[in-house]
Amino acid sequence: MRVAVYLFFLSLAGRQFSRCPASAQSRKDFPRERWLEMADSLMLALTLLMFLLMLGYVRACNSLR
Amino acid sequence: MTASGWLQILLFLACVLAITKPLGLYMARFFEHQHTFFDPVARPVERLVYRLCLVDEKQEMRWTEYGVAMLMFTVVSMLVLYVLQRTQQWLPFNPQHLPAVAPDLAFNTAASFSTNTNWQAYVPETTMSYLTQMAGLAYHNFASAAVGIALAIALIRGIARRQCKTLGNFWVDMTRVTLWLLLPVSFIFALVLVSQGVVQNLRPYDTARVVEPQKAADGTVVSTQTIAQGPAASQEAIKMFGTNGGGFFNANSAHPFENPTPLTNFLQMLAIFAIPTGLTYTLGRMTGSQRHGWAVWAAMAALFFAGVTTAYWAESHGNPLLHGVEQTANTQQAGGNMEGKEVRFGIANSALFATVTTDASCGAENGMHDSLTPLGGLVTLVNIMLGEVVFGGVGSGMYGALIFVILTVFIAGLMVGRTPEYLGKKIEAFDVKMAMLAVLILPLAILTFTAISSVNPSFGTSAISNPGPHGLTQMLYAYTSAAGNNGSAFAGLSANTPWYNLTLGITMLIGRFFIIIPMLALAGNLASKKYVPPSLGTFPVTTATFSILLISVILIVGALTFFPVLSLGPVLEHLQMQAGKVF
Repeated sequence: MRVAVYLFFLSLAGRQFSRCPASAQSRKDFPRERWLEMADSLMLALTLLMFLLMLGYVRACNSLR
Repeated sequence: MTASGWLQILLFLACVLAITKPLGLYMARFFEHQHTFFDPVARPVERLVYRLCLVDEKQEMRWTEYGVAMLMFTVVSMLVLYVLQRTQQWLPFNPQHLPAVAPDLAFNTAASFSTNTNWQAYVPETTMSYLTQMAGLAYHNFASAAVGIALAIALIRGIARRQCKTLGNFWVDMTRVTLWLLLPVSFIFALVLVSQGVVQNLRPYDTARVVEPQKAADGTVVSTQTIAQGPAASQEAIKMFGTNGGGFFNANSAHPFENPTPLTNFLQMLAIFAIPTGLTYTLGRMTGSQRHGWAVWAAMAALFFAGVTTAYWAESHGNPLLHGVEQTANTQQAGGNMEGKEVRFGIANSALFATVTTDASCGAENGMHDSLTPLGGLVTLVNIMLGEVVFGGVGSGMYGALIFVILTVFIAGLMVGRTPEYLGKKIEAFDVKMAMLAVLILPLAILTFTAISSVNPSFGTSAISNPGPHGLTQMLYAYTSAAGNNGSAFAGLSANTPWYNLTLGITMLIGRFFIIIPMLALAGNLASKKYVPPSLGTFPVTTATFSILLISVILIVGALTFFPVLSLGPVLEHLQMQAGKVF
């Protein structure tokens, strides 16, 4: 279950990044509005990933015993 | 340095000492569910909260449950604050019609306020609506402070309990500290602040005609000034008691609407230290060793005094390269380095405020830290780098200090070749591993992000305003402040960029939770241990020797970790200044 949740958010972030153009020229053409459209979901994914990482850290500390 | 300045510093320390016992005793009583004078008011509200939130106050939690509850509470609060900022243009209490906060800045601010950091990469009066300030930021001032205190109490319970698997109930601890302590003291303090002239209203900003119109750089004549206002006093009170530090106005406690008089300045500093100093007494009370609580207090007070003495000395001596400027204190002027300081507070109260706000994880400022002398700035940096264990943030200072106490008794045990013991508990491998994980995360986050930021203009160096060691100090201070959950800014750094907003936000989360989690694991492990009666070989934790050893451990760990980067920043800047070069 935990792996599935991780994968979901990773794929969400990955999909958003895959929409970003790679080359410098195409980045210049990429409208600022498109970046802003993506930003909310990226921030959400980042927040949730950080907290999933912390939940994993709780488990890791517990297993160090 | 003047006699008046020293008198104010000593008076401040005396007041801190005076409030330690009554406040600590009160906290110990309501956390242990003993009768207090405030029960008739708070208890009915508490019962109502539990009924509404379906909390069973009798149910205790293991450390993992306690930690997960804390994480869930924080992530939900953080997301709510993010959404509030992103939608504030459609919500009420926005008389200035401020637009939505940018996504990266909203993430940074949400991470900042939910971790008790209150780093502000924005100008509050032109960025945040009244609703965001009240329902978002001020709410987090209460919630993040309550989380910190609850966690410190959980660790104290872990030390005090014997062969027990639980640490208390997170929801009960949060509710009790909010109802019994944070709300009442903030309410009273807000009224005191209003009586002194701190603003509290919901009006749109006023426009005033300036006495002498000025010509701006672009040639336009400026003849009016916008006077920002709003519900500042209510936020100011918890900003100090909760060691949050996020200013209602950009100038923070240097703004006359936030900190109008010398009395409010003194009370604000006292409010920062009030709960952390009280918690040292609570520690002694709840663990049954009051002298241990005082020994920890003495170590903290000695470190505080050393810090404020250095800062006051450095600021009083000013900048030797300022030729032709009178820098000696006299009846006409404060003397010393007055750049970035309020004339009404002077050198002593500015140095004292800078030391207090960085000893605790507050981050409020009544002067600009970027304008401190190199050694004055060094004191503020070192205070945060030591883990803010000199009284420290509400709760976070106590659990940070207790982690150093564990290391101290461990080192003392190594010296005499015995298994270390702490208040009747054997300190074993797991405890030391957790303590070291908590200690090491701070330098890891600070040094890694500072190093990455300093290698390339597209990362961090394009945002600094001074070259050389001062520029490095600006970046170092930003990540130190974020990782230490302090929130004070060195200024000079244009931190509202996607790079800084994201990396500082991540640093704040790491600096908060990657210390809390091993600390809770340590608490859970200590609680499950058997009591071992003290013997002749037990290192006493109630003596001056213990206090001195604790100070030494804190300083040695801090010095060994951060001396290289400090030597490249403020130390080099000080030596260069002595050699005739400034940056």
